[in-house]
Amino acid sequence: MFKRVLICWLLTSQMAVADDEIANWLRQADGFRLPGDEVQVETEIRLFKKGELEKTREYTVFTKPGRRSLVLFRSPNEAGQKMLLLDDKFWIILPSSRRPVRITASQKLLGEASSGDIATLTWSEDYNGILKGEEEVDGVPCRVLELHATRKGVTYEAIELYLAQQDNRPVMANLFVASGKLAKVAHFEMGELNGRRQVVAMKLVDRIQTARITEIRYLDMHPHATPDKLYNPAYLIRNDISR
Amino acid sequence: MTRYPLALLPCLLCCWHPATAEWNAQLRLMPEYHRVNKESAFFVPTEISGFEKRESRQELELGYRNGGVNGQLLLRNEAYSGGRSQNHTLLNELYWDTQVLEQEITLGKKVMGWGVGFGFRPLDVIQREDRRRLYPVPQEGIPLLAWQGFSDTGAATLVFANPTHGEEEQIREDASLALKVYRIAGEADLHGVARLSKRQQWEIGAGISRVLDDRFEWHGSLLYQRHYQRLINPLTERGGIPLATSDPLRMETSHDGIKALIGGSFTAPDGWSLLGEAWYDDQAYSRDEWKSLFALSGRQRALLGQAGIPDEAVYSNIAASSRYLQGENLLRWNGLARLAYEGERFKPYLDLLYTPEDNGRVLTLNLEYEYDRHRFDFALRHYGGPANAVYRQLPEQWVALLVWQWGIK
Repeated sequence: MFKRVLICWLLTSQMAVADDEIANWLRQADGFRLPGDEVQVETEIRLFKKGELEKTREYTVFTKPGRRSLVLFRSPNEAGQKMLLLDDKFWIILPSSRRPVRITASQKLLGEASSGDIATLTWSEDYNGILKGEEEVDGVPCRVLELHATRKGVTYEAIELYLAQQDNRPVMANLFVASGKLAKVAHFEMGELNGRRQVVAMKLVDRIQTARITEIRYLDMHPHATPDKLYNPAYLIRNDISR
Repeated sequence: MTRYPLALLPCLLCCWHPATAEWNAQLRLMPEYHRVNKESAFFVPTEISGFEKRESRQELELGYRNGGVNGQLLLRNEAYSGGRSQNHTLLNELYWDTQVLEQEITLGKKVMGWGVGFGFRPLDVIQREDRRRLYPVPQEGIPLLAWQGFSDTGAATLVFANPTHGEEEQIREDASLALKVYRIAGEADLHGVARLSKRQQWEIGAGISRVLDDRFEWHGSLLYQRHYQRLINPLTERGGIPLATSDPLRMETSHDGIKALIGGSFTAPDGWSLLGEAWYDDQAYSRDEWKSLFALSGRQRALLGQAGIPDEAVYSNIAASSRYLQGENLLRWNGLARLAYEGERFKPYLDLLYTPEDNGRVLTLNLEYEYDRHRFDFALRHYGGPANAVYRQLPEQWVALLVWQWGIK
């Protein structure tokens, strides 16, 4: 009996260590995507269909701890549009109506580039994971993590994340929607931005509409303190947010 | 109206930072087709009314923002049948969002939409958007001075609209004081509004928008108006010769008006969505009021060709009554169903506006196609229902519209 209890205790504590380690790996991976807690990101999205560039879109994203993100749409056809993401709540303001509208998670996903792909830049706050195994991706030895959402409203319910064994930088991710379907495969490109080695681009290959590829390129990313009121839906009607 | 933008010029100069100035420009070309409804109770032959069908609209929209100063200028050209064209320059917005003593202040001409709803927005007390348009045009703002305060889960906005005006010809130009309070309560957004003006005295309303799960949401809003105004044709209540020698319509004030809307929507992750709404508007005319107006129009039309009564006098009286058709809602009870799909390139929608009091129907089909900076819309609308339905009395039976929009910058 004592032996069984001891084995159980050893196994449980082993799992707890593993959980902590995985959380640590995720935080390190997040560090390659975001340079700090409060960040301003200038993003360019290029949409390809059958290898041809179809659209280019530009966004400014402000993020703040507490799962708060504000997306400003910058392209000529979308100028004035904003999307606010507060935890699992979402609002949009369209230039034609000039009033913030509460939207559902499904409405958030609409449009050519999911706002979740643009605004969500971390995993450690939203997912728990287990180590699934080890695999080589494009010659890089990786550990494979199986992540499951711990909160409502995330864009992807589950993620199969490939982190480089050497430094836990993200290499690839399989992104699954709530139905369990593989929606997209993400490939991460490392580079230098403002003198810092980090993820500079993410290529999303759509597995449902297979001819479609979305390239999200981070043009600039720097720490930027923003006041809390910026993440109030009523603030969306104001236009004094400077880039 | 031009005084406010001029007063803002010093602010514009103060905030001028060439490095942070942002411009955007959009060009829209919109040829359109209208099929005239000769069966309308208010039909007046073109040779008498001088009415010209609009054949196209061209717009250049210029937007500017810099350090809290925002502006939108619209240059519009409208071409009519017969070769005539009209040009308009509209300064839709010029305002300054700034902080004074750590308070959020807005000064200038700004679009301020407070409504909750899609087909109708009872809480739009500062300015009302024309929701019946086949293709929306950029809204023109209201001169105002506004204060906003924010908390963690809410906000309050106090607006002094048209501060140098009194009671003007148009309600939207009246001086008024309005307050909006807003609060996030879990999965719901709660809205409260109040407006005070000389003409309408006080209006007070509340709204809710609640997300049920990832796909469903519902919303509702209710507005009470102490006073509201409508155009009335007194000839509908009079015997004798049903003609007036001057404009017969007069503005009548009524009391204790209600505007209410309830609706909900379902959005699937694959892009399909369905919206349903029902609303009531006391400010719209009742079915009985329309029947009286149709009867008057019939009596007036019977006078055509009679000796001693010029046809022009008859037609000008009929045309005056047709101004009943300019209301925000044509009948008190309305229902809207809208099926839409948001695809990669194509975004079609089909919507049906239904007036149960007379079985009137407005069916709209829109197909949007987007390619990089170009957007194309094809819209088709049909006004249907029984011959005596109010929507069948509009001057047109079919409208088709093609839009090319180019995001230049």
